[in-house]
Amino acid sequence: MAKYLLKRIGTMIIVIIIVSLATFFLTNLVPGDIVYTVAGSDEIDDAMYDRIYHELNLDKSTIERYLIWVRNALKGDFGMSYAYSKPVWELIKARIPTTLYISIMSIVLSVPIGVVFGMITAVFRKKWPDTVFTMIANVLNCLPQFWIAILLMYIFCLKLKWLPSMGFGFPAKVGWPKFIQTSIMPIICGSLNAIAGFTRQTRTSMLEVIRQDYIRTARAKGISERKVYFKHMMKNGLIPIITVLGGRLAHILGGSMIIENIFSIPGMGVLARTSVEGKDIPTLQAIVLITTLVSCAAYILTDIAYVVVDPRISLSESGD
Amino acid sequence: MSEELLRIENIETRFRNGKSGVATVLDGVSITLKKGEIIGLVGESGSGKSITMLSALQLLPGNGFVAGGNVVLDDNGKNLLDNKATSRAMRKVRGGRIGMIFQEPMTSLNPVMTVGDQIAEACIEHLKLSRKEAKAKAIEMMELVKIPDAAARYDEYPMQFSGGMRQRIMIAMVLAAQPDVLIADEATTALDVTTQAILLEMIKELSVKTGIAVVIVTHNLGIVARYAERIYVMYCGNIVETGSAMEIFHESRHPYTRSLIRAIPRLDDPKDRILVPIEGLPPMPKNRPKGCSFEPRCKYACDDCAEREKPQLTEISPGHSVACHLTEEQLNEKQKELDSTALGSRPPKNIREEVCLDVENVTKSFSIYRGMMRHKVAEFNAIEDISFKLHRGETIGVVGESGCGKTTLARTLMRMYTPDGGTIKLFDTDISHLSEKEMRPHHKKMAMVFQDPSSSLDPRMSAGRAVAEPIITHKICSTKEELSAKVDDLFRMVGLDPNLKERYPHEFSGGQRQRIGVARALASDPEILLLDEPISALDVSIQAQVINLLEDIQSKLGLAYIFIAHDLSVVKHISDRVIVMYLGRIMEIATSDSLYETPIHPYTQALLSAVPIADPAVEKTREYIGLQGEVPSVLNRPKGCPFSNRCKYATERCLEEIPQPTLRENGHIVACFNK
Repeated sequence: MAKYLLKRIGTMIIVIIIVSLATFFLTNLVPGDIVYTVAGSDEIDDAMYDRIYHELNLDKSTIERYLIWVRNALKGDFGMSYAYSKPVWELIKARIPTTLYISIMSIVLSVPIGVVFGMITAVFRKKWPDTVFTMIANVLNCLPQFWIAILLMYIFCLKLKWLPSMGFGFPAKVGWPKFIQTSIMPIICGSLNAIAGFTRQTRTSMLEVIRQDYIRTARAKGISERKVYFKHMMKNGLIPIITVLGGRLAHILGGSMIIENIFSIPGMGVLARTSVEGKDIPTLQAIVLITTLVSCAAYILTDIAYVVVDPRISLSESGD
Repeated sequence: MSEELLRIENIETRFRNGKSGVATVLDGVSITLKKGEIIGLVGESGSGKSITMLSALQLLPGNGFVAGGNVVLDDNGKNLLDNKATSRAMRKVRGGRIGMIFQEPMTSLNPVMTVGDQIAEACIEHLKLSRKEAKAKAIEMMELVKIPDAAARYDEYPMQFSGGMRQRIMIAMVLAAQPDVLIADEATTALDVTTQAILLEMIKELSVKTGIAVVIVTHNLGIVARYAERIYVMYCGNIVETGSAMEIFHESRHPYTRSLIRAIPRLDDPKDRILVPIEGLPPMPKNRPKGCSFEPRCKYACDDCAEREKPQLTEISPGHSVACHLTEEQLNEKQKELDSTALGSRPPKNIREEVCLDVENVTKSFSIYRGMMRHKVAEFNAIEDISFKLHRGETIGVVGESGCGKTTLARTLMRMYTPDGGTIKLFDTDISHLSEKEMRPHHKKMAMVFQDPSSSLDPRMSAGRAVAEPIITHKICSTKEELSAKVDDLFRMVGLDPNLKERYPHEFSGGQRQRIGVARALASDPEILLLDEPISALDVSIQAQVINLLEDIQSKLGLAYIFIAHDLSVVKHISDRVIVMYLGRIMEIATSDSLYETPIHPYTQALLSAVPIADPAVEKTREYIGLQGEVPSVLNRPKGCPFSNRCKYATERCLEEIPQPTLRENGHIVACFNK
């Protein structure tokens, strides 16, 4: 197990190095002179130009600049945001909790609902509950997030006037009622697609497990159907579900773009958009790197979950 | 011991099929089981033997249901089928009173639960033990089925056990609940013959010791002849005959039973025995004839058999019942007639002096790569020092248990692999290291027939094209007409109608598909045919058809065969000489008769004694040589003789030194120091 983890972490470090290289050198491809972007104006004198030029280490070679950037990044210093004129890390630190909260809540909500729906459809295969839940899942799966968001806003803000249409704050800042009110729509919006995904995945994998020989063995043993489902089927059917869950976790930062921008939530998604629009390169670099980090962490968690659920994986690892 | 334990009465089981409606799979099957006895339920695949047992336990797959009949336990007048499948009463019986072990040890255990927990689960459910008691009991059961280090292996997962060991776990799991009946549904079919014998001996021993009654469900007549006291023969969802083992094998009254016994090769067959295949195929459940379901294939049938109602099982002597319209006189008369018009004797073999394949010291090794950079961590020899000569017109059989290198040998001879050492001389050319291009003209001299006829043919290629392909590749025919004529000839040669050329593999039966495989192999006019388990995927009644076909083709074309199989009886029947392999090395080479009569190598002796012969009278006189342990992995091959760690004659020298094959009496070539 420890060896397996070390191996995964090793692979993750390689991935992060490759991504950091790619994002760093990408900045060299951006059109226009960065010095003017930083200065915020084309009308600067030569002395000013030279000062910024040196500050940005543009007189050094690209490799050197990369190494400096990596050294600083390891210390948590991603440089100054061109657009906000604040340290990038501070910007991110302020936004990451919001994004994590909304995305993780969406997943926490969608996993149990999706798995239960999926179990229902698998157990009642080809009977009416299967048809109903599968249909719901298919419909939800097809609806684009922004459309759901607009629909929710139309119903709950414009018609019923129950919820605010934008903004978000943690209870410490805006108090509990506001916090809950502003959470509801983004979380629902973020989880509907996921529920559909988990329902479908659970159904497929449970149906796969249900016809396995060892389920017949379990029944031949005379144990109750409840035990057959929850002791013998569940654990075997979980593996593909973990794969889907891992994929969802890996994309929580990227996936928050649409929801945050629609509901005007000050999170990573909004920051990513503004930094792209404003050619705010240090911020963009930091966001990409952190997103990669989160993805890698999610995949490692997935791998660990596999090992916990399925002994065959860690066992075959020693023989592979 | 004559108390009735389980009575299955007139079970009728049907399956719903999406389009074709409902098919009756069991048509009134009755079986009784007394306390402590071992009965056999034999039949080909699709005869309904497993479905009978699954119906009784209400374990049918979702689209199957029992339409009628009773299952009575302890003769208490209560029908078990009145209970719902998932009800407590049914579950108490299922697992608690009647335990069942299944065919596939690889997939029948839950892969994510430790084996110990799976055994303990049964104890908790039926014996109401606490978790701790259950664990102790589970370990006790694991010891009972002779799993070494039972306590330590309690927490291991099924994948850490070999097939034979997993089946022991299954047995332990079933016996843990102390049932009165053990159903072994093809429990040993997927295992090697020595493992099969060890397990069946163990079941028999346990039956004697604990008084548990056993139902052996199998297609293997040898197994029931060796172990069962009474036998039920099934065909097409009906019991066609039942009686004591002696009655079934020596006084059988049903044409199907008789035909089946005449169709299977036996280890003790005389050299010139001809198998009498059962022509045709068993009908599908939905288009079974109204009357006797065997009538269309029955050689004994009278004119009115087809018109009459379905024959009922009637007792002809106490305990011996038959479902057939024919009287004993009619049957015996027909038998005389059949015997006199027998197929003549087998055409004499024409083995010539000319050596067509000379294999010398061939070794093939494989490497194991691990880690991210895939570095080589180990190397093992799949086959080692293989030497033999194949003469024109001769059949050499290669037998051995799984992992012994049979298939590697075939592939190396075909030059799908390049040997690491030794020479392979095909006529006068050493092909062992020819490049692919140099090999091309030689390829057509050797052709291969594969095991699984359903997956070794391209499903999107018509049968005619599959057969034509080698002809085109080797540019044997110059015109289209010539090609088409040649394909037609090949079809006729393997007993297929050339009009079926345009059909696709899935439209053929298993036996027909294997005929296509043979036709394809013959297409390039080869001199040598390598047959890798060509009949093991086929049903017993079909096997004889293919064996006879292969023998006919050989006598017509004078081909040399290398026949690879794990079924010793078949190999012995078809081969002139037999090579016995173990862990990649040749243990013994001998003519097929003297191999059975006077085996020399201890492994050959053990292997032969493990094969059951389909005759209870012969079985009573045979001695079974038990083998200890299992075939080791090629990765930890013993240093000396590969068999040394399981051989009871092994000495110090055997452990240190590899014996070389030497010529002994009767022309046997044996690799052993002691014998």
